[in-house]
Amino acid sequence: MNKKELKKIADTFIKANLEGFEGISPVIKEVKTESDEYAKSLKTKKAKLKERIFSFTYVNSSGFFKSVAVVTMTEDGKIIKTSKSG
Amino acid sequence: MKEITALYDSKRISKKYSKKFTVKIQDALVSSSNFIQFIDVCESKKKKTKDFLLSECRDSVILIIGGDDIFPFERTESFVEDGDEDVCTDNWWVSSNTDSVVPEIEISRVPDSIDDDEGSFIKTLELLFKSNKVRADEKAGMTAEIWKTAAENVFLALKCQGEMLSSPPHTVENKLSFDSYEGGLYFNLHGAEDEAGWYGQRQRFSSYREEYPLAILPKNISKGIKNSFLASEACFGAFVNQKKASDSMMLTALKSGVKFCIGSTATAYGTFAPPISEADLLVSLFFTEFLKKKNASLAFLNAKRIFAKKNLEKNGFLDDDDKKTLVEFVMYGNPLTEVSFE
Repeated sequence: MNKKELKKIADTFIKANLEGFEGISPVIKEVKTESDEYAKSLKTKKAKLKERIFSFTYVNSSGFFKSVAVVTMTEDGKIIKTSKSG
Repeated sequence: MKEITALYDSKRISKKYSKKFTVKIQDALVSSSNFIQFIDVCESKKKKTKDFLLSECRDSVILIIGGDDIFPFERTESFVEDGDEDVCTDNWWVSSNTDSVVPEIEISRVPDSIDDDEGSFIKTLELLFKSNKVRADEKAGMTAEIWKTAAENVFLALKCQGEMLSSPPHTVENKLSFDSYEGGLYFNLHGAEDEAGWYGQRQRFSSYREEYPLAILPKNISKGIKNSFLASEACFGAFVNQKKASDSMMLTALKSGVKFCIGSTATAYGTFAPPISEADLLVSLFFTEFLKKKNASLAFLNAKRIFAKKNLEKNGFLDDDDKKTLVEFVMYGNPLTEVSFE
């Protein structure tokens, strides 16, 4: 999927689950998945990664608290993780 | 007994306090009966000191003396594009990674406040290092109503009896107070760089009028607590730069019977949908490790490493909010603190 299609998935998720992010355009970033250095330092084997990963970061700075939501998904549009600022 | 390697900057200490104050700090720490070596770290020797720690002090516990003005935090990028300009971290000293994400040695810091004088800072050090024991047969917590489910999961990891308040309905108007309290304190509330207290948040469909009620202020934890420990997931919960003790929950806690705190110096992240992740996962892992009778800084180091390992084994990478969680969470206070059930 291209970034536009992925954004649509992220936007739909945010709209359905979180308030306060209406009309906010996310910062789209390809996540750096290079992690050999961490795996070596932790003496662990990392899971194999076949796809590119993208994050969609929504920042609402207009409220009493800055509010941030992050949707992380594969290039196939599978949402891996969602998180929200505290 | 583990050895503490205390890092201090005598020039900065002399500038803020007096030339003789470094010796007073050393005396206060030595009299705590812990094994301690001291390293004077000036700006030009930072890299050399770090190399020494990573090669010769891997079994030691690193203890940084002072807040940002007398021993500056290292600054890293905010991995998440969330508007945080940079992130204060102590991981830099104990990580050989290029981005300081995975720590390798135990570390803690005793920050001073901008209104500390020599007497009050020595008093804090003496209070923190008087003993290395805390109680963990009682717990108390507070969460924003909107994060109740994730917070309850984290609170469960502290396996002892106690109640977690939700805000709302709890607000600072309810006059929370402690009376001879000894145990764990857990907070999952909102915080901000320039706020003294932490705030709740109502659920999406809630009948409460106020969206972000003020839940707790430093004065609420300034009396009635001893031999306790505190973990907070609040954004900027551990941001103490240029703050008076009365303007910071953590600085107040360290002067009021809390032996150590863990928290975030920047915007922190938590679970939106299960399973628990980011700050929720890190704090939960910390409680589990700490209750295995590991000293506080070892439990914290283990929690960070297990956190990174779990994510690498599950996803094959650390995403931006995982990395940020690992660098922004810091420990303040006595790193040798262990739990006592006697």
